[in-house]
Amino acid sequence: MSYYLGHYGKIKLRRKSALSFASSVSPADVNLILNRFGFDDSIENLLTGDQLRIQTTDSRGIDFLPLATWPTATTTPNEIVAYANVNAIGGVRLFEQFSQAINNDRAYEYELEAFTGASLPITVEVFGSVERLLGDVTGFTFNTDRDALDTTTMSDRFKKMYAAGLISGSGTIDCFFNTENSGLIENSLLMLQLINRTDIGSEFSCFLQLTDNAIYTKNQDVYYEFDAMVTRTGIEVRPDQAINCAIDFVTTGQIRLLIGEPSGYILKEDTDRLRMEAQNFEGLDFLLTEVTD
Amino acid sequence: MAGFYTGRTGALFLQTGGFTAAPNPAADNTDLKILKLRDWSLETTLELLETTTIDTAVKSYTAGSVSATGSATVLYYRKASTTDPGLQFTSLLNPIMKTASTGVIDTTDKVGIVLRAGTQGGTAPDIKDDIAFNAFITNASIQVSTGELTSVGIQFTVDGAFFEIVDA
Repeated sequence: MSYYLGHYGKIKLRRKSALSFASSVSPADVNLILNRFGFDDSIENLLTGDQLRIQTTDSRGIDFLPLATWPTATTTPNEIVAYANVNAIGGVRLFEQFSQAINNDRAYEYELEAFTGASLPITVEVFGSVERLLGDVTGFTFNTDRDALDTTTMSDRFKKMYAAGLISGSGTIDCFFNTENSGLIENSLLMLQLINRTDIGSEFSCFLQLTDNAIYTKNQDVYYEFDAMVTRTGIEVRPDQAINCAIDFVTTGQIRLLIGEPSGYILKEDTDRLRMEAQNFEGLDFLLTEVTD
Repeated sequence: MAGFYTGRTGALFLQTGGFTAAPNPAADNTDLKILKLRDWSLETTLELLETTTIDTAVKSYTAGSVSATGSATVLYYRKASTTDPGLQFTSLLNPIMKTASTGVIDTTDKVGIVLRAGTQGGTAPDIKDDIAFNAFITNASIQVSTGELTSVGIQFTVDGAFFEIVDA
């Protein structure tokens, strides 16, 4: 008989937004020296490290980026997917990879170019394609609730319930407060910032791993997978202990308790190296995998 | 039965076409019993006619006519077989929701209702806790909500005098 210890549990999350917001970029909003551009509501909604999908309906396309940003394109596309570094006043600098954006590595920033004419209307959404480990976690709880609908009627002697009510989930993540980020994991500061996204909401995709096959080799990975939104964050600052925070969330859709390899794993039959062209994208979600059962 | 009563001993019996005499459905009568009843209520009102005149300082009245209305809620629950005992929610909808342009017909759509609060037996086969009357169903509603059981609510107005009222 095996008992499992919680210290091998882990949380992976993927930034995402169910909603997008509309704004516009005018020629004066583009700073060619800093390679940053601005638009209304960026500071209220975007966080450094967000993978953004910026789209425009304007026939000029994303005209504040040079055509060379898209190596195979012959005309300026009307969409760009890139990681953002957001400064204190909402100026956005774009990068190809998460770590570059987190570390504001200017050697890899996307060059901007000037454009003329009317402002470009844009819609912006957080397009999270990669889940990352959440660092500094000290524990988590997750509850799955099912509505028990009362079907008791007159003349019944015992209370009766309808068993197929709606399912919902909620939980709490406890973690130490941390702002450092090497570019490989998410830190707890992100969880405190998510709740402040004013227009696109505080949603994220979450994977709560209970057991790890790498540790308990006789058992498969067991994990919950769901989308959730942050509903409350709390932080405790005391002189005699590390600053810790608690993040309450509720699920926003389907909850799945899965057994097996978490998404993002690819199993190969041979030992060849697998290469992926990562132009403007990052992560395994853009590969098609053949699943065998 | 001495003591308090709850909805556990409640019931509603329905006779399509109405009663012609005081009904006495037995406690275990399933032919007329509405299935999956959640609640019923009955409100009886006396219309008072004011007889106050200008030379009096205190109002006075004379009794007018008595009327009664009520309501009931049943769950939207289908019997496994139409031959199973008991009446499902459709029996409450049919007297008012029509596809025929003739609308509600007095003789066939009037319903006889027995509201039962308890099962205290009287002179057999009378049940002391029964209230019996003829009525028209004046309102029917179907409530379908996310995460809640679908239910049917009706309101009715009593036609004529009660056949039977709660006995001491």
